[in-house]
Amino acid sequence: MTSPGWLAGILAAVVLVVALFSAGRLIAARGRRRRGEVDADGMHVLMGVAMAGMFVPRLATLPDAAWGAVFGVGAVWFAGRAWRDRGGRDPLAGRWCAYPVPHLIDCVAMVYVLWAVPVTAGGSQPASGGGMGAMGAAAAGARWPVIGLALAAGVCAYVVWLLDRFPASLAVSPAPATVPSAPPSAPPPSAGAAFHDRDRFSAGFSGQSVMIMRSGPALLAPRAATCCKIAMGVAMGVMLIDVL
Amino acid sequence: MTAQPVAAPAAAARSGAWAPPDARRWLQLGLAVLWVLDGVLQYQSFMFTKAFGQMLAGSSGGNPAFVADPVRWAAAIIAHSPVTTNAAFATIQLALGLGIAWRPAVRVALAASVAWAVAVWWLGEGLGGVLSGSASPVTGAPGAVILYALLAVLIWPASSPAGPGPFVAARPLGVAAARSMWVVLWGSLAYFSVTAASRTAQGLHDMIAGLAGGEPGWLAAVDRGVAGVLARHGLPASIALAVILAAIAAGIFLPARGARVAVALAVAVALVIWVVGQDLGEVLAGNATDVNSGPLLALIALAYWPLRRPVPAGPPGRAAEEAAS
Repeated sequence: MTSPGWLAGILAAVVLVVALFSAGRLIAARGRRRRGEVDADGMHVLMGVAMAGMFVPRLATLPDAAWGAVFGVGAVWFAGRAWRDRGGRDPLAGRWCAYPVPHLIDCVAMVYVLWAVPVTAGGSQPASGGGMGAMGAAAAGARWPVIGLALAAGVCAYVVWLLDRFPASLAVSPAPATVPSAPPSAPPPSAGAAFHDRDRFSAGFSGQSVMIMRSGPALLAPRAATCCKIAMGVAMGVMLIDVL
Repeated sequence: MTAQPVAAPAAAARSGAWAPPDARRWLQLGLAVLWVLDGVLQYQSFMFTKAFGQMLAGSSGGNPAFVADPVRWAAAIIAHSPVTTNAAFATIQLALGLGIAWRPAVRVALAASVAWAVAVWWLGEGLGGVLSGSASPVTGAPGAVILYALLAVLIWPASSPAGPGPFVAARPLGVAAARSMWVVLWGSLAYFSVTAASRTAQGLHDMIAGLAGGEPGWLAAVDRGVAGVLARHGLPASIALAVILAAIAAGIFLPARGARVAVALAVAVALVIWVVGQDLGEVLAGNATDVNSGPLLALIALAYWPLRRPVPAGPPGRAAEEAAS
């Protein structure tokens, strides 16, 4: 490994913090009756633990095959969500993440990293898990590196996409530019609901000036969740490029 | 719950809500992606070694003293403290990308990206080999990093007092200045394609064949195949490339339909050069600091795509958005 150890340590710490936050969000959303993103948060917990083991081999927990199976299942889940959601309507969007495609890319990237790092003559992946912990082997070249490059570009694009939608102020979010036809029972829009929430910003992807207000509990800690997604995306981009 | 389609992007901008990106914002986001990717590339293991500094020192060769000496000075500093300096470089590039992506920081980040790109072009790339005679559009002339600066200027979030232009790049600069920059860029590429280094019988062959090492098999096979076709045909191939690039340079003055053809040709040429001449920026070989000039040239070309409607001069919503950004 020629990369400085502190860099791998920082990245491992970052992804573990993301995993902790996601676990906390899963619990808090249930306890406070706020809406989380169950599938995305759950996957971030697993991804954070797995990536920490990839950056710092001492933190490795499960064998590569087990992680590969986990993220393979995750990829199938998010692919199914994306397929169901292709028409822009997803009855599950109240509980699950609103945008499954980026998480599909994340899961595929994890599977790719686990698969792409060459197996050494001893029959095991170096540094027990690929990723930055296996950078000595990465010098030999990963399998199908163009896939890794495409995934890295996709992850970077996702980070940029998230930031483009990140609000300018952490103060109370601005009033919506539309008057929702919310029933009296619906909660008032909160700062959380006004940001990065498909309920409010579905227009951003259809190119139409349409806003939709959906009833139900507000999204829990959307800004912090987005910061975690950005951090996870950067860490994954570094890992993908490093194994090429 | 029912939806009420009553909000418009301008209204969203006035209210401070998120508005869907317009053409210029999409180009800014494209630039942001490239900066983030550059930052990630800079975190590669290779960049933390002394070899990175030695690689930079290599760009001083053939340059006049006012270019070569600062390049060697910067390379020596990097070689002395490769970990610290490279960590700083990578973080700066990552921050530039994140800053451009975040709307409130876009002006500061674009301005910083121009300063950073010019500094790297001089101290890290030796002005892209422009003065050393080694520049070729096939290998990335006039230097990928200076194209970041050019694109940042072209998509600067301001509108010219002269009013809306027929393409995105005309908004901050005006039509005449934007077209002048296009002619300078593509005209210089045409010139560099027939300089002494490029027009020799084996010039293009050697450039492309030299890329194959370290690349994946399919890309190396493409390199060898193209190099084989160009063997001993360097002069006619260089002249053909120069003619195409000159036609692109002149095409921006055509009416909208012709200009679209020129811009589309520019994008196509940029992407072909990126794959064949630059091997996707040699990212797959593991020692690239950026994606090279191909994607930048394509984004710059898209900034000149004739719009069907003139860009709004700056209604209150847009003005508010620009003021916010």
